[in-house]
Parts: sequence; C-alpha cells; structure tokens
Amino acid sequence: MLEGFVGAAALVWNPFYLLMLLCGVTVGIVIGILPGVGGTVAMAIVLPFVFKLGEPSAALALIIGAGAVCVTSDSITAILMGVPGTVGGAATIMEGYSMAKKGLAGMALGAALTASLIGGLFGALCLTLSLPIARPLILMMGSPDFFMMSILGIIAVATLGGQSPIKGCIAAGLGMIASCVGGAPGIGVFRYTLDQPYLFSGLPLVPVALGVFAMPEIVDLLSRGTSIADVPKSVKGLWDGVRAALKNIGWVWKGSLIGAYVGVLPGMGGSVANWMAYGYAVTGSKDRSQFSKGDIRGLVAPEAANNACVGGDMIPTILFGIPGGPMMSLLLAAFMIIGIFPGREMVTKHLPVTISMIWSLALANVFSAIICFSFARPLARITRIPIDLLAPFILLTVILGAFQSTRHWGDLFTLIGFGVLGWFCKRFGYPRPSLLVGYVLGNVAEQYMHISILRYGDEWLYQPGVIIIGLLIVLTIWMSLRQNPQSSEAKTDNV
Amino acid sequence: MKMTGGAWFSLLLAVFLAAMLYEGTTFKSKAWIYPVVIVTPTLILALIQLYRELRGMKKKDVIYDITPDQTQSTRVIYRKAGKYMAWILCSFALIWLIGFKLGFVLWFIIFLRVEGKRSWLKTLITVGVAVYLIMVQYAVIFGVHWPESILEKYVKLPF
Repeated sequence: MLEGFVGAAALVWNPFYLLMLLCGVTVGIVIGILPGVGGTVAMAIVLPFVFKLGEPSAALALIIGAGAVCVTSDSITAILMGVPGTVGGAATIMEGYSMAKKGLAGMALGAALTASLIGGLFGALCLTLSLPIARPLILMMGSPDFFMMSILGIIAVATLGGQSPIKGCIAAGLGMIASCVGGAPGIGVFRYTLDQPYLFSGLPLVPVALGVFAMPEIVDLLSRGTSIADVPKSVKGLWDGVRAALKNIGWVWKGSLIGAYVGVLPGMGGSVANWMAYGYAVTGSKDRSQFSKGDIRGLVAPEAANNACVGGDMIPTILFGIPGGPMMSLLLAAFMIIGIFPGREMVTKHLPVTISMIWSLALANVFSAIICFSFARPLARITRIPIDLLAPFILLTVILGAFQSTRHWGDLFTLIGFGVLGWFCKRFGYPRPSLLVGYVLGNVAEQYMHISILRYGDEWLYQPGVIIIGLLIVLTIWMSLRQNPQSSEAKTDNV
Repeated sequence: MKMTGGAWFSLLLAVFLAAMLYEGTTFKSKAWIYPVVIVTPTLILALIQLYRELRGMKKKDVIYDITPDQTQSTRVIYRKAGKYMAWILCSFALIWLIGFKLGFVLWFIIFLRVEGKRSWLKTLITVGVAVYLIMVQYAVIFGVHWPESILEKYVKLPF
C-alpha cells in the first residue's frame, strides 16, 4: 500500500494533473448550477476528453472533478433561487431557501458549502480506508467471481435504484444487447452488425454515453426554455455560515456517515442520501419547531450527505465494478476507455491510479468550495443565461466529442440514435443509468464468462464465490420486490 | 385497456427485442448463447411491462434518473421535443453537406435568429465567441478531427 501512496504522490503533484482536475471542477460547477442537469451530464460531457488525455490519472481527475462537485454548486441555486441544480439538492431547498427568504442567504450558503467540503473529504477518507480492507478479498477473486459481480452490479443498479425494477431490468437488458454488437469475444463471429464495417468493433462507448445522457437533457433544456429568477443582491454572511456549520459539526458528521453508507449501497444515489440525512436531522432533533423555516441542522446534514455519497459510490465501483450510483456508470465507462478494469487491477497494478482518484475526489471538493465561496453570486448568474444561447454550446461540445471516438459518421448516427432512445427512456421512466451500466458491464461480463468456461469448463458454476454472489443476486432481487410491491394502481395517462 | 404512450413504447421495445432474439438464434458457434440468454428474459419483462401499461398499473416516477418534465401537457412536450430534435438533425445535415465549421456556424446563426429571436449583433457576437472558444481553442488544445462533408470532397477549403 505504501508504494501505492508514493506512486500516487508522483502522479498528483503534477501541473497537468492539477490543470485537468481544475477543468473538471469548473465544468462540474457550471453544470451543477444549471437546474435539472446534474453530475451525470457533466461527466458525459467530459468523457470524450478522456480519450485524448494520455495520462490515466489526469483523465480520471477530469471526470471525477466534473462529477464530484455538482452536488456542491447545486446548493447555490437551491439556496438563492429555490431551484435544485441536481436531484440531490432538493432537500437543501427546505431549509436553505427558507433562510434566504429571511435575508440569511449568505449564511445558508456558507454553511452548505462548509458541510459539502467536510462531507466530500469524509467520503474520500472512507474510500481510502476501504482499500486495505477490501484488497485481500479482491485478490482472492477469480474470473467466475468477477463475472458474477458484473451481473450483481447490473441487477443492483437495475432493481434498487428506481421505483420500477421491471423497467430497470429492461433498460439494463437493452444496454447488454447493445454491448453484444460487434465481434463476440474469443469466437470471431460478428453479431448484430447489419454488415456494416463501422459496427464490427462494436458500438463506441462515448457516443452511446453522450446520446443517452446529454442529448435528452439538451432537448429538454430547450423545451423548458428560459426560466428567469432573481438573484439576491447580496450574499454577505458567508463566514457566519461557516461558523454555524462548525457549531453544528455533529450533524455534519452524521450526515457524512449516512451519505457514505448510502453511497456504498449499489443503486442508490445522492438524492437518497440527501433526503435520508434530512429526515434523520428532523427526527433526531429535540426541537423541531424551526424545520422547514430555516433550520441550519436541516441544511448541513443533507449537504454533507450528498457529498460523502460520491466517495461512498466510488468504493464498490472501483473495487468490484459495481456502480454505487448513476454517475459511477460513467466512471466505469471512463475506466473502459483508459483500459483499466475495476477490481483486481485497481489494488495491484493500478494502485497508484486508484489512490490518485482519492486525491482527485478530495482536491475537487477543496477547489469547488474555494471557487463557490469566492464566486457564489456570479456563478448564480449562469442560470440567467438564456437556454437558447447555452444549449448550442453544449450541443457543439457533445457532437465534437462523440465524433472523436472513431472519427466516422457512424459516431454521429449512434449519438442521435441513442439520444432518441434516451429521451424516450427518460420520458417513460426507464432508468438510463441502468442502460449504460448494462452496456458497460455487459461486455465485461461476457469476457469473464468466456474466460471462466475456457479455464474451468462447467465447474466454475459450483465455486463457493459464485454461489455466494449468486445468493446475493437473489437477495437483491427479493429486496427490490419488497420495496416495490407489484400492486395495480389506476393512474391517468401523463404521457 | 388503453394504448398510452408508455404502452406504445413498451410494444416497440417488445417488437425490437423479438427481432433481436430471432437474429440471435442465427449466430454460429457459441456466439448465440449470450445474446439469447440476455434477450429472452428482457423480452419477457417487456411483455409484462406492456401488460401493466395496458392495464394502467403505474409506479411513481423513478428517483434514480432525472425526473421527466410533468409541468406541461403531453402534446406540448412531444411537439417541443420533436421540434428541437429536428433542429439537431438539421445541424447534422448541414455538417454533412458543407462541413462542421461552416455548417455549425450557419446553423447557430439560423437557430439564434429564428428560435432565439436575437438581433444580428447579439447573434454574431455569440457565434464569434463559440467559434473562438470551441473551434479554435478546443481544436488547438485537443487536435480534434472534423467530420468530412460533401462540399469538402469537391472543394478544398482553406480552414
């Protein structure tokens, strides 16, 4: 482990790495402020750049920087305008916006940013501590175990993350089918290629990811049009907010713990952590009279939780290839682009890269806190940029980014095809993270299955690890059915 | 039983998956195993979902993904989405015809004038910023490749 830390230090204290991290943080802050967009879009937008950057640690710093800080900057719009920048910012509005209406916007913002910083660093600490604990376990695992872990990851994301396990599994299945396009691993047969040479190597990852996540958001941003909101003239009192957060440090720690725990559970996300922490703050307080009227405890706990959740999300993603949340499906995609497989390699050959990711997470939270503290009001003004000016810039980046995959017109057709699919999936409640996870892990699972059959014949099915993980898969499905009872409900048609 | 939008989508998915299953059974050697194993349960689930949609059984909106817009009527949502998808397809068509740099700039100008109803001054300033920031800086830093167009096949452009 020590040599991993030393190796990571060499990677991290490098101007190019820090520049990429700062670029990622900047993109993440801007995207986090835009209502309804979120960390997944920020990560999707920077994903094409991962191709171009030769250095894995710098590439991962870019994408982690983009995704990890959206939940920090979204508190600016949540508090100042009562609009959540991301899904994870909804609980922040309850107390933060109430404080802003009382003229305490600066204090609320200072408290939220401080809690976000502490929560984010706590998440990075949890990730660090998980490495020596999980490492021996991972080194014992073989290809059959990793195959089963891939299936567990797909099932967990598909069934636990949303309210409809059926739709989640269908979306995951669609993703896995998309991963079958091209040559079958180790067999030399082309599948679903329609005799198109472009498809012989399979559907490229970046246009798929951009199509599924970024294109529907661009269309919906344009459809919603401009929403003009007044930005408060003053955000004075930031340091009062810092003091208030430190005075309520107990709630910050509790929120961080909840966030990290929720993050480790596959299929959950920042919104779950946010609301759980808020609910805990309300029920755990003796005096509840000020909740929903501007209670600082109800602000710092969820803010710490949704930042700590990112670190928690990264634990199963990096160590087992099971995405802890929706953004982690894109981190997995970045791993594939760089040529790193989650699991064993992350704690052996690529240990310095793994530790550099922890540094990226920690430093991203520090940079974003500094930037948001310094430029809170100007950043909030970004929401006043008309969408018809902003969306074409995003579209331009998306089109260019998609084309860099294979530099073939097929990339743009893939982008638009998955864009249309992604829009309809969003419209009808088919979770897109499940689709992308199915696509990313589908290929990995088939490769591990192929290796397992070649090496062990049929005996791999009877290995203890396979049976244990198989039981976990059954348990996951049972848990999802328990939390989503299949009851019939007559609803009006809203689509 | 009512054919809602969700039911139509489920039906389309079921038809697509059935086609994938049929195609999957034609793959030689052991290449058919994985696709058939994936598609079969997915198809069954799609048929179950289609049944649930037709019977009007609905779940609450998923909290995992960014929730869909519920504030406007269905017709308005489809009309606007269709309009902006068409705008995006037009940008692709222009890029295919006259190249990325010319095509996107022209598309951006038309979009801001027609859809954004901006003045010529604001339009040209905005497009100028886009050209500098993205097409110059982005291209210089990352060495991007531009899609080839019909025009560029016959005319050698200076940029």
